[in-house]
Amino acid sequence: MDLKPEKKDILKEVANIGAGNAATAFSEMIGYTINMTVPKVEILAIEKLPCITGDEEDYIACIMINFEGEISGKILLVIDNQNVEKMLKLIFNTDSLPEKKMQMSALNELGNILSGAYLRAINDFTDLNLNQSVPALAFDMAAAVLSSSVIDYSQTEDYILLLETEFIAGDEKLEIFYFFIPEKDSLDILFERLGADSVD
Amino acid sequence: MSGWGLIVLINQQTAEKIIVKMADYAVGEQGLLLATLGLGSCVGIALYDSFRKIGGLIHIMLPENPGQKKIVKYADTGIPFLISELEDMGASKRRMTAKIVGGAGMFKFEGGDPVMQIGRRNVEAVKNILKEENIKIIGEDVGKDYGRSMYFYLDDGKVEVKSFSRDLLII
Repeated sequence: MDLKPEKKDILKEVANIGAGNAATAFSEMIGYTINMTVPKVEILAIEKLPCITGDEEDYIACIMINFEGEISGKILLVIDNQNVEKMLKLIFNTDSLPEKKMQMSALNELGNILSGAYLRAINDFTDLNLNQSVPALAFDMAAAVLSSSVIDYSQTEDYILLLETEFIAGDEKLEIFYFFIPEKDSLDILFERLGADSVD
Repeated sequence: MSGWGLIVLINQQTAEKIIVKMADYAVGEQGLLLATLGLGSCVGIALYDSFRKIGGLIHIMLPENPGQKKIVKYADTGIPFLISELEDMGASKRRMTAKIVGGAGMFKFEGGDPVMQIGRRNVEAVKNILKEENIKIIGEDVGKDYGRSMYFYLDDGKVEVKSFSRDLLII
């Protein structure tokens, strides 16, 4: 799997538009300014995914949303344990954490809002119709969670394409990793729609 | 400090450790510790010949190789490969025993339903292949919904399973 720089730039643009819209929605949800890093486009050997946010045994929360329609893929939101607590306190505007069920609900809602905003921006930009699934959650060791998230792609693929952005919330230095992982066949459709299919 | 505690400490420090990555494997002899970190739906399979004190650990991701793909990523091609690697080192297949760890369902929808069944399929495939190879499973910690790290000591074949939600388990 290889990508010409021109195609990488196009994907960066897609990620920038998607993440920008997601950052705005996130900011409205928690009432803090959200900054985001410049999106990165990475082609990653699946075996390397377990360490992408830190160590294999770090405790993380991951929200996974599948999308389908004219193109399909996954969105992963990854937050380390400390940041999950900070974020939940921001969302609920309290110093004590609510019960687990409420926490799960809030994370699902966060997943819905961020992926919805991201996908809507892509839809506006490309005119591709996209639907998102109900979010699924995992709290556990990073390697166990991340490897399981893309296991259905790894049957035939050895590499995945990641569009990566980090969100940082206000003074709290709250970091959230945001990964947009299109299926391999969907990439061609995306490039075709953006007029980059002739770039080889 | 008790003498016993000191001995345990020294043992851990002197055991040379090899970390086995996802879709990878390692083999070795007495004195070595083979570890694989953060098994989710993947399965770690530890094979051991206790007479020769030779063992191997493989971290498979999926049940079946669709063909022409990395051997050690899949149970059906990876396990026979590990057996032959161990035989090349002088281990005997008829003395080999297995311990298997992992195959969890990590993601859940709100309400508690698991998302993917791949972990369960991995465990089934691993058990079937070991049965075909006539290798007995003498310890396992599989399925459920949590991640595990696996530490395989080639001195005695002991396997430690670490997880966030459970106590240290020795199989």
